[in-house]
Amino acid sequence: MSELWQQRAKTYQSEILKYLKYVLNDHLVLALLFFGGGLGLAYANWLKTLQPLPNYGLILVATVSFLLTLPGQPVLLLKNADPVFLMSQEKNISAYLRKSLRRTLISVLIPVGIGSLLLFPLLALAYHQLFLVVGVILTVILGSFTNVLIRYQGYYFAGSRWDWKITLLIDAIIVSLIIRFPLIAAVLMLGWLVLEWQRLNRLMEKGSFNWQAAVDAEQKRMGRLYRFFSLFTTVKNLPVKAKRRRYADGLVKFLAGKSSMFSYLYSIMIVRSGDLGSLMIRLLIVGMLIVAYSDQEWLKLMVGALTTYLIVIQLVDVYRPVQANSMVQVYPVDAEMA
Amino acid sequence: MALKIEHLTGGYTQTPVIKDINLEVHEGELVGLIGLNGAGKSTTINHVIGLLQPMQGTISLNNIQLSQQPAAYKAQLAYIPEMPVLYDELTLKEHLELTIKAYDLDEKVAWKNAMELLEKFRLANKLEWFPANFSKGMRQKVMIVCAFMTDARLFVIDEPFLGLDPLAIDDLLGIINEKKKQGAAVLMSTHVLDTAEKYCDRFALLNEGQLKAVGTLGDFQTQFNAPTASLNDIYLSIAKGERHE
Repeated sequence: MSELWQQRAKTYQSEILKYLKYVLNDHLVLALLFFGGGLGLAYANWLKTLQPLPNYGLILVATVSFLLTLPGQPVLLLKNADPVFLMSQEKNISAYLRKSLRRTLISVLIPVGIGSLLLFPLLALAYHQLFLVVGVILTVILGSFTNVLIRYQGYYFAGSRWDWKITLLIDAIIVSLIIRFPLIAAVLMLGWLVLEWQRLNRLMEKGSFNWQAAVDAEQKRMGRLYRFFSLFTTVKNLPVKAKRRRYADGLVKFLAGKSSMFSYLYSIMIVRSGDLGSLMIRLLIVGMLIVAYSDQEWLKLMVGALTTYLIVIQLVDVYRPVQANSMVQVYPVDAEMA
Repeated sequence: MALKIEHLTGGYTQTPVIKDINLEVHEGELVGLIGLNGAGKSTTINHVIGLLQPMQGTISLNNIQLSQQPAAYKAQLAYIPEMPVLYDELTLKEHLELTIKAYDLDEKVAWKNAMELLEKFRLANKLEWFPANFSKGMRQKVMIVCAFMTDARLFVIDEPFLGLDPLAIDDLLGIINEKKKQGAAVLMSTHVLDTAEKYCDRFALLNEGQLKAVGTLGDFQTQFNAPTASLNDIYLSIAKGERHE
């Protein structure tokens, strides 16, 4: 099973890198550099106004610290077929999960580390003493680790000790202690981490692994990842989900009119498809704004034509799947109408 | 006693789908789990293979309880789902290799068994292909080969007859027979009743989440006072009776 993990981790890594190449294209990096620089400058200026630290400063520190304990979705790399093929290897699933846990804990250090780094000047202002600042950062790191451990417990039938609301509450209470006693908060968090670590270990040794829950969670995580990548490039295995969009039923009726089966089908598809309808609306709005606020006739004409052209091009994505569906050829309707 | 289900109540959410199921599958026996769509066949099976946790009741396999020793329990079991699930990125050969690893099989013996099964299902020349692109029936055959190349003590088969060609169905029934002779227990859900009638040793009739009757066709004929009735007749009369109530 560890071998399997290694293999999957490698494939996963190269897939992510492949997409990151598109995400971190030159334009975006340049834009981010300027954006980050501007934000940094604003942050630095804002910090100057905070001397001495106002009352809400510590509350702000505690809130940000609490939020920093939350990231860290388990990277499980489980697949749909695993419950069938690997069920008999349940005795070794803990070896697999330990590798996965290690990877998740390392990857959670990235957002938590960056966050702590950004928070550092504020912390220095608030506490003045280095060991107190270290206490705060330790609390945050240990807290994020604890949350990850608790998420892993959820993949066993016995689950975590409490439901997620109580877990969040405990997390919030311990983190809020950093306002007065950062070191005590760190020690308490360490204690909690040890308790949850013991529980997870017991589950890994004796618990019954909830294959379905784990596979579903992983599918959801990959779906989110793919959707993010799909903002930058085409992602081949992104499941397109239809949304019911009850509020748009009127629009469907309006678009379909009383006419043929095809206009009925097309209008439903446009309205309920994952992103087609919203893309068309965005195009239309941008086009409308430019046309409305420009006083140059030729520009209006060009933009109007371009907008219409782009929207019509989008319709190809509606037309094709309908044509590919063999039922359309079978239905007693005039295919010319399509 | 191979598989023993006692007072099993369970389902996917808080509301139970199946209620108080008691069923035993002995070694060398094929038990057919019969029921309409939505009767609770798949739910029962998901409990047996440990994908769901019972709300009440226990399940054990050769005296190993699922709730007590889940890993040891599951190591004795092979499962063929109704909808084949395969890995997109593995070839047929790699699927078989994965199965060998998953069940810690002896490579030589396992490959010999696998090749026999592959020949039977006319897949032997497709070892380097990606089965995820196969037709449903062929993917189903891959699942069958992967399950039956193991030496599991219990085979759980969810609706195997839909999508398989007649020759493959016949071969599958032959393989099940072989495994039965070697002492394995088989639990198979289906609503293809005439095939089930011919091949299952006993039947468990499920309706609306409850086990209506367990036994051989002869038992049912006496119990329902219909000496010439087929399994189909008996099941229909139960199901229709429930609907009118």
